[in-house]
Amino acid sequence: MNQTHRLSGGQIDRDRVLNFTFDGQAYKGHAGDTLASALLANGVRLMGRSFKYHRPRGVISSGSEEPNALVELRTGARQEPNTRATVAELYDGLTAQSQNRWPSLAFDALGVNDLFSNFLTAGFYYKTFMWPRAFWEKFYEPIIRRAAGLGSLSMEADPDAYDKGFQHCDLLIIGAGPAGLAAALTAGRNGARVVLADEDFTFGGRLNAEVEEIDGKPARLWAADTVAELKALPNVRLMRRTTVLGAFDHGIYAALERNADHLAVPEADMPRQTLWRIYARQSLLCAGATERMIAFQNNDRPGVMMAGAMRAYANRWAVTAGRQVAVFTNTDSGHRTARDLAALGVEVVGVIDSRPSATALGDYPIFAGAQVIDAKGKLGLTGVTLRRSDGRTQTLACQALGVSGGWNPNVSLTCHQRGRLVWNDQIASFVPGGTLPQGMRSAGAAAGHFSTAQALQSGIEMALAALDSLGLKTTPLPCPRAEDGAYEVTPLWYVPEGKGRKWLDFQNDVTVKDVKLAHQEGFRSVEHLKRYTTLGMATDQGKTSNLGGLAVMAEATGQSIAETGTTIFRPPYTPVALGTLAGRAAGKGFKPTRLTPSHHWAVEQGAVFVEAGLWLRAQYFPRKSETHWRQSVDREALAVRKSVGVCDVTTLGKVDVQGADAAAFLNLVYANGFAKLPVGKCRYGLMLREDGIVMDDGTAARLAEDHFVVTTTTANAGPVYRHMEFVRQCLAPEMDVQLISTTEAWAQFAVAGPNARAVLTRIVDPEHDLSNAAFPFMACGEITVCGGLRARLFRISFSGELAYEIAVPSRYGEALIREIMAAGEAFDITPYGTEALGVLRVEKGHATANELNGQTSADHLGMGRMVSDKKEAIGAVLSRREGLNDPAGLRLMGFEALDGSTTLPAGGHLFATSAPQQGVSEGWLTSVAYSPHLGKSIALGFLERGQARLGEVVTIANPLQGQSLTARVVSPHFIDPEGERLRG
Amino acid sequence: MADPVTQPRLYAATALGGLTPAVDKVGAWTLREVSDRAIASVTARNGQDAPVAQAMETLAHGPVPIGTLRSGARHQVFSTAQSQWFVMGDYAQDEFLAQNLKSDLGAAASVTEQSDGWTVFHLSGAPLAPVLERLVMADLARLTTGTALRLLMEHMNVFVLCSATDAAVEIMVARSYAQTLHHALLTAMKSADTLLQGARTPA
Repeated sequence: MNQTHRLSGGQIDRDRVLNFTFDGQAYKGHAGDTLASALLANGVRLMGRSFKYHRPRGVISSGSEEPNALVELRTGARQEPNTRATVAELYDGLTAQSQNRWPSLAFDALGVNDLFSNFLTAGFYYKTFMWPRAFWEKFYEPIIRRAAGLGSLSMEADPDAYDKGFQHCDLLIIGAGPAGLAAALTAGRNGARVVLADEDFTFGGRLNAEVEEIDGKPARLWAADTVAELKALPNVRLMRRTTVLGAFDHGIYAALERNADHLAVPEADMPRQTLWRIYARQSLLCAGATERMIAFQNNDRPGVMMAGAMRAYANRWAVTAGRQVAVFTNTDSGHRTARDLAALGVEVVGVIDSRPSATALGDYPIFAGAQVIDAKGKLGLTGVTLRRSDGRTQTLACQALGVSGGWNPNVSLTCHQRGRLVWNDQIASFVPGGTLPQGMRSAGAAAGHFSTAQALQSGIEMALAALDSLGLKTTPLPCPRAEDGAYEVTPLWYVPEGKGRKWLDFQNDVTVKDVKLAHQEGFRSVEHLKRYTTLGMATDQGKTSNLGGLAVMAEATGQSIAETGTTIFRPPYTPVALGTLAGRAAGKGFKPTRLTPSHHWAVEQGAVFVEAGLWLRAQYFPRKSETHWRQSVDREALAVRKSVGVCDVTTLGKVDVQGADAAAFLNLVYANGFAKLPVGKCRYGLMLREDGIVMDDGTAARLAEDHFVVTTTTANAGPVYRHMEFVRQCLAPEMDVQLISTTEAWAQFAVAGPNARAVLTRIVDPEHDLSNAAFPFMACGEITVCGGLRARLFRISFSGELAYEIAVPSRYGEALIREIMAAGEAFDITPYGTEALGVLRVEKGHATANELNGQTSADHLGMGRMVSDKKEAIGAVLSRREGLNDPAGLRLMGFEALDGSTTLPAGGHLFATSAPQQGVSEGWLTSVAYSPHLGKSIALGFLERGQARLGEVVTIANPLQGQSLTARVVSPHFIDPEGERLRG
Repeated sequence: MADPVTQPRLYAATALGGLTPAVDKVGAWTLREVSDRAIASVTARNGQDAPVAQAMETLAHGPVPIGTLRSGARHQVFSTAQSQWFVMGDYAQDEFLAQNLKSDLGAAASVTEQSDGWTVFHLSGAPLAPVLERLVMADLARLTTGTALRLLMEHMNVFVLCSATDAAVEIMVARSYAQTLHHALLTAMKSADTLLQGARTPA
């Protein structure tokens, strides 16, 4: 069997034969085919099974509105379910599988559902699976999920890349049919920046599907000539294979461009799809219209399709779904189908027109005033039965039936900003209303103008209107000559005769009866109707079914369709792969990674890294003999206490504060005093939020009378800078102070341990005296190192040891750490990571983010006296609130295990040993560490009345891990509480 | 006359971690890491906006309002915020750019060394839009020679400085982001190249 249903003509490239398979069967098609047209060409009408009843279904449309012909396209990791065969461009090697069937499309075991359709009516979930309640999760739901899925996933990671991008234009034209092309030509020739997007791979819209002329030449050639002219205009961007998915605020549109879906595999580095954000000053919706079905008994037989689709398959793709075809219509549109197919040699067995006054457009039998009342043929149409105007029935043998119940403008995008539609009696459909998204207009069939001449004219007029509204100079174009037939429709939503099911929503298996039942059961609002019956849900969003459902509902309620209203249209217009929404933000591309100046050196050392916000920091530096991270961390921490260690602390935020009022400014943002800090000194500072809670801590170094450098914690570098800018701009605009971040400008290393000075003496140029007298604890200064390089030195200590932080311009950071390592070799200098840093600071009792958790006051931290009452500072007043200073409140304390083998759990809640471990605890552990120095597990934590409970043994409840432990309350300063080491 | 240059015994690494700046060519485009840039930020102190703006104008041979980049004899100046500018020069000639500006401007301005706070990538090749439109939301038709924009690029805060319309830009990002930005730029270059090639071959 080889393309038995191929006709002559069409816009396919017969010289290019493309091989493809459907359900394992090999077929041939041509370049220019869609999967649907190629299958029809090969005589395949059965393409899928319906969602609920697993009814055999064939293609009913030739565009993105298709509800039936959904396939799994491709195999392996690239397999994509629910792909519409009507928009899948054929390529050589295409592989498609039908879905929602087992074991095969022709014999589907779940087709048994169809026999039980009386039990599976609207709302059957809600009625059937309510009892017994316990059955829902374990029994009913798995069965329903198994039966109801549409397509399947490969469960493999998507191997393709997806791009995002941004475009700007004066006029975005959505749809490139006659209206869109005329609009683009108008705006393009007038010099506006135009983006013309169309979801098809060929521009022209219905012009490619019709036999008609524009300006005396075939319409499709006019379209091709127009596209050629547009291509030559530098101000026009043509985007085919691009679906505008949504209209968002302020003239912003989302558009999906399919770069590689027409290829077997995207080329290397080629993104499969691009999701564009288009900023359009004006937009013009020229999205055309969708034909609608007339529901009758068994109108879902494979071979029943929209008359316009039947015509498109014949004229554009040279394909007929059957040797004998019939047409059922209530407009002249159906007659065009009969005329065109007859002209191509297809036997038209009859046009059944519900209008008694209908006349034929050509040489074919016409049944005016008749209706189709049934369709035969389970796996493919074999004939239709009609009720003639004389009351008699007649059966016509045919393999395809084209149905035209009229056309509905594609108005979805006009409603994405809650726009309301307006009912138009002349076309018996909704057209865009007065409240469109900002800057949007509509033209052509989307606006209800159904003749080609009207479409061209409205495209030109609306483009001119859009350009006028932008103040651009315009010259009107002459409107091309084209077909201008009047559109006449006598609404017929469904055929009343017959007790069988009459299908409205093919994708969700909703029938006329279901809608009536929903109404009978009290669901009157269209939104309720939608949820109860599932009308208009799923991948097609009811493009072919919504209005039919509304019409039946309107009839049941006795209201007009306009009064019944529509459900809300929401983006996206057609389904979008999740990978497209993710774009490049997949895997490691999810967020930026910040690297420290010593990163590459740390990699050489075999460091293990940890994420600290966006930063990657060395967590520890394992040695070959070490098999557990604790061995490395214990060694690093002990080395610092014993001799000297070095750690990259570049990640700490650095804010350069300058200005005549710099000191006064810091005096305002810090709770403790800064006004009198001498030049050449650092001070630890506590920054409060306005509500008195501690925001961050850090040090500020005074480099000159009008120049400070404030350091922040790594995590709070951004928030603290933002807070300081807020204070500068909004709370103290009169102060002369300027802020700028210098976090990245300086590579900064902590050199800590008893031998820190000895190491630094070999780094710092000899003219700078590092002796304790000349450069005491909390000194700072601008110095030179390694032969004249400008540097900064701060004598501050996080570890509690004699320690410095030394900073050089970042480009020299990597070289400096190598220099420090070399200088420290004699002292067995040890690089240490964030884990050892954490151990050292817990041993010293320094608070970090675990303790500054947005709930703690200075009092809680034991720093209440730092909040100066001699000056005004942000947060000072509210920090004195009752409750934040309760003497019986929480205090930061130390906790130590009673033996060397117990591990204290972070987050464990604290109770007096005599109290039951339930209800409100007396505090919790915030930070824990194994102290290699003390040989036991230690912790910091908050404990009520902590300062009065030194020495008490408390219970630590850890119910998550089924633990109940004990620990002794001690000072948070486990090491050198008098601070002699860091001053030494 | 150029300032004396320090010659410490430390080597300088580029932001990408190399000893020489990275150069990548993809299709029509070339991406160069720029490591020889001296940068200083200048912010006018209270009441000093006019004289500092004037000083910037002198350096740049013309006014430098927000959104512009202008080149003088030895320096380029672009505005970054209200009464705030970045001045750029050649690091080899101008290592002490910040100190020199400070001594010139005195108490009129706050000056901060930013040479290593930021890193610069030079992206060239025409047309540039196919690459940049994948990265920044700006209207590229307005990104003409002498435009300076502050934007987000793949979640990173960048300056985009246009030195030739649709043909050359410099993109500045905080130094620690260099590798991520470099990856983003290269990815966009490859993406644009393969799509342009695809567009040239009939489907």
